[in-house]
Amino acid sequence: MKQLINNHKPWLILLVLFMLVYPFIVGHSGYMVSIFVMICIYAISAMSLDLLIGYGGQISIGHAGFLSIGGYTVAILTSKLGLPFLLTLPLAGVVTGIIGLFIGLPAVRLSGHFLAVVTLGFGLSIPQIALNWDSLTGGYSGLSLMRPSFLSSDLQFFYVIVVMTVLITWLLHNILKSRMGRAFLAIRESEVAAQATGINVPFYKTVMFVISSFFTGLAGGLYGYWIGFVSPNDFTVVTSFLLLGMIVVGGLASIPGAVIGAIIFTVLPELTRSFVGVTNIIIGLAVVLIILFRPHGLISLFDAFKAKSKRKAGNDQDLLISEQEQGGTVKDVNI
Amino acid sequence: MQIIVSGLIFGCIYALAALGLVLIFKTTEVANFAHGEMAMLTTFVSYVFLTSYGFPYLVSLVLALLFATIFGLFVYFVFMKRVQSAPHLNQVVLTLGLFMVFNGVAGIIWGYQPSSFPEAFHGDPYEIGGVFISLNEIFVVILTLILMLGFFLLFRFTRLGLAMRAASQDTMASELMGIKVSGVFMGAWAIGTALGGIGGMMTAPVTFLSPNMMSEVLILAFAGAVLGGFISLPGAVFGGLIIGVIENLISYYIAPELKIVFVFLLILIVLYIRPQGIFGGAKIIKKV
Amino acid sequence: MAISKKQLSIIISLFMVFMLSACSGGTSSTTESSSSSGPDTNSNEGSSELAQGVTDDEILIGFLGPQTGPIAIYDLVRKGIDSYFKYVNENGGVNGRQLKLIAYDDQYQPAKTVQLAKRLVEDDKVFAMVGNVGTAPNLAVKDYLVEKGFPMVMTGTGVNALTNPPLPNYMGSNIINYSIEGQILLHYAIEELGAKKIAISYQNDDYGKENLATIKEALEKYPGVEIVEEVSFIATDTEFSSQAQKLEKANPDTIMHFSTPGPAANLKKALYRIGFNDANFVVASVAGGDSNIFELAGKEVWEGSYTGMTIPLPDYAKDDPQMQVFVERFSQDYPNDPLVGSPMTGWGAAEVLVEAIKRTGDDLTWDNFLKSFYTFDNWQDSIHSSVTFGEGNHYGLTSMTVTQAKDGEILPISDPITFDPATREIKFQE
Repeated sequence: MKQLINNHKPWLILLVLFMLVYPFIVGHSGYMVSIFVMICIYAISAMSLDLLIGYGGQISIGHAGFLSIGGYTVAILTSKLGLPFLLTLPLAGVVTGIIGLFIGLPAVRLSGHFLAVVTLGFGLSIPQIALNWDSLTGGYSGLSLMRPSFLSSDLQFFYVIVVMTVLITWLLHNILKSRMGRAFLAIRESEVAAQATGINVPFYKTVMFVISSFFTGLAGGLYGYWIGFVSPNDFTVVTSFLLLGMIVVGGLASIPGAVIGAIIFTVLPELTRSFVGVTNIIIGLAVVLIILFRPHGLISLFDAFKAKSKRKAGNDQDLLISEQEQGGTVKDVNI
Repeated sequence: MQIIVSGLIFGCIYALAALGLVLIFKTTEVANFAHGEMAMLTTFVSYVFLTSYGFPYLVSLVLALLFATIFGLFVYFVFMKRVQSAPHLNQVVLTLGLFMVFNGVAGIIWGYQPSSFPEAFHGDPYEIGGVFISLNEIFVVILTLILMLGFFLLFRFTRLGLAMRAASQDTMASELMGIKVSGVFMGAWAIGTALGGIGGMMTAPVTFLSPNMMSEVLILAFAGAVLGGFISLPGAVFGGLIIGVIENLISYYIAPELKIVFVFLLILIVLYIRPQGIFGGAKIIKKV
Repeated sequence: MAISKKQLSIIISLFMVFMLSACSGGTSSTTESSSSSGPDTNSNEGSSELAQGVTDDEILIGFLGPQTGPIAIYDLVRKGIDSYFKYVNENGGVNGRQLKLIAYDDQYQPAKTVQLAKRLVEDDKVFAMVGNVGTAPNLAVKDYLVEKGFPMVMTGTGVNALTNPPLPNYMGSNIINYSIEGQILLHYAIEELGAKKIAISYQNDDYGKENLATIKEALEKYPGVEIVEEVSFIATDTEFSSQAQKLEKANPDTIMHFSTPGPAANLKKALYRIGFNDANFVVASVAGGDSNIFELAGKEVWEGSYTGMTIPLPDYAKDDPQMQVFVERFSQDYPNDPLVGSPMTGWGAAEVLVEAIKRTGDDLTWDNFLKSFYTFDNWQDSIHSSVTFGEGNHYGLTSMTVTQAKDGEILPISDPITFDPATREIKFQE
């Protein structure tokens, strides 16, 4: 049992296999496939936000703005300039990353609820700007975009999104394990201490925002291509709140946590369809209950399970470290 | 001139909503995102008293505030007490969850059709030097100032105020000094919710009564509170007023649709220059 | 490295758990729908077999709109449709088939609309959708549905993108096309109210902007009439003193206002406050066509305002048997909900849908169904004052009655005014 859990290879293979056959399992149901795609898009966004909040200790409640920018970037580049897919998608990340840089600059000086308000303002402003900048964004009627012909079928694009999600997860995972990731953690724990040990705090704070917005922008780009239409209604402040909910409910500072959050917040509304008008109540209740009874997020369920099996193996040292890095409380994010 | 005056009056509404927010935050360090929805529920309750039972305005107001007090205590005991020492982000997300629940519950009970809500005072507007102002608006302004001053003095000069300030600074030390911290927190939630309820009842005649009436107001109230430093009651009122005026000026001279963009741009600039807000006091770096 | 393994394995196991549950849910829903729609599901346009969602005793109809969230008020459209379906079913159904409504909550989020549209079309295999709410959600699913050729009946938005130029599978809107409404109101203001200096106040969204553009374009036909001021606002705005000031300064003889009820009431209040009541206040039907506006603005404030309506208010159509049925039935099904407004658009849309199914007859395919709309020529047996379709006219609703507010009532003051899609001209009905 222990080996089965700790050895990730068979699981990884199973997962990849599963992702590959998923459309066939659900019988090519466009609905089930699109749920899966939305999970992927939200998972990428939630992981990026988690990098900022969970690992870096910087709050953002305007992340939906980055998703919008990513979506609009691909739509504008494709429909107005006719750039090819392989160019627009990375550009969606780059453009959003540059915007993230501008948002990150004030973040160097701000923290806590002050930063929260600035990012909230950003999230609120983007849809308004999109609405009013008619010539570029098409205003209220939004912009349609076509997928390139070699990806025209939903099935083909499904695989693109799956590959991108796996790739981004892997990239984020590596970033967080790198020197940079450790600098983020140090800043989260104490800015003063981090500075004292020679970490360039303003630089890393800005970098955090750039990385986070870059990947969120990519997610937005994928969204734009998947739906084939972007409008100011796509990502509002509510989306930002939901992203925040995802990472907390799943478990802060944990990549699987962000993924769990994305799954829950995407699937839960689908399950409540048979009852009228209760979608928000159910989501709200779920959030409340999880925070009350699982303050470290759902991921802590797995940690508890892990802890048991590990203790049997007498591997306490390892456990200590892992707990600190995974479920460790985030002290400096104060709104 | 009319634009500035109207902006000030609307700013008072933001300020009223911000007062309760700041009061709760100042004492318990919880940024309550469900504040607006709690205010909305209180307003609906007062509306039920007004229409279904036919009570006069003042009676409904008092009953609704009573409800708000109990409601605030309920929220504190059932939800917030358990997360009092949890990370701030957990608290925030919890209040966001409550926000969704309250909003949905109100929608199921009362529906989403907006309805009108009476003003505290009726009467045609007076014209003073080319500016139109109604009795109700004067009332809102005075009410805001009284509440602000009252709570400011309470914090500054009474034992309870001292206890509230102490509790927010260091919970454990206050407890050791013989302050009943949980009692102080209870008080903050009860009073804060009642304040929110007053704000809601002043807002409802303008935005109309519906489950979504407070969302826009609360965001700007939050912004106003932060602009004022988030721990200062006069700061909250001042921030709310600034936002009200700026909003109106922008919508007259530039473009009404872009006012939210400009308001937040302004906040960004102010905070960049003064990261602790206008009334925030010196920036203290804790937790070395 | 131990941690990375751990994390990865957690992700993986999670994915597995979720996917298993998800696909079990998915398969169950597909089997369910295929069993309910029987062997006829695999048919398509052109074939003589019945279309998807149609069995010998049932027709599945889909609906997407917000049930929760900021715009949840439009759930009333669903209630209107639902109520009419119940009424039809209790009276023997359509051509012997019962109607079944499958409605999902898209929360006015285009991403969800797309997802749920796929669910309705591919998993639930509904026959058609009726009355779907909102501009952005409808535009987001347009390409997909056009490609499928899926019948969309009386969609809940009046934007040109869905009806002008006509799309083969989009039949009508349950809110009159925005530019038609703008032209009819403008025509009335100029011809009947003698407007010369017009100010426009519009909500800065699809609705307001399309009306603004229409009026600017249409004004070329009326020499001597000019626009003296344009003010805008957003749907959630509550403070209108700056707009009121601008309007007063421009001193127009007519103000044309396009918005949802809230801003309309607040703007009129702001105008009333500064004592500027002389100009004719002409309001779009979305705001002025609902007696709730008196609640919001106040009787005296709203007095004299003009508006246009496609569905008469129940109080002034007491003799209309269709209206009687609606009033009786809806207040029985949903006693706590308002009667006027969105429920009427839902009910009206459902009436058109049912009539079209009836006219298609037993050979119910998408092709035949869509063709049957062309037989609607000034059809009056619904709560709408009239419904007309044609090869070049997929609007459905093309005529309005102008009304004026008097003593807390919305009184009709004109005969129906009709827009002719062929000549693009406005006619008073004789």
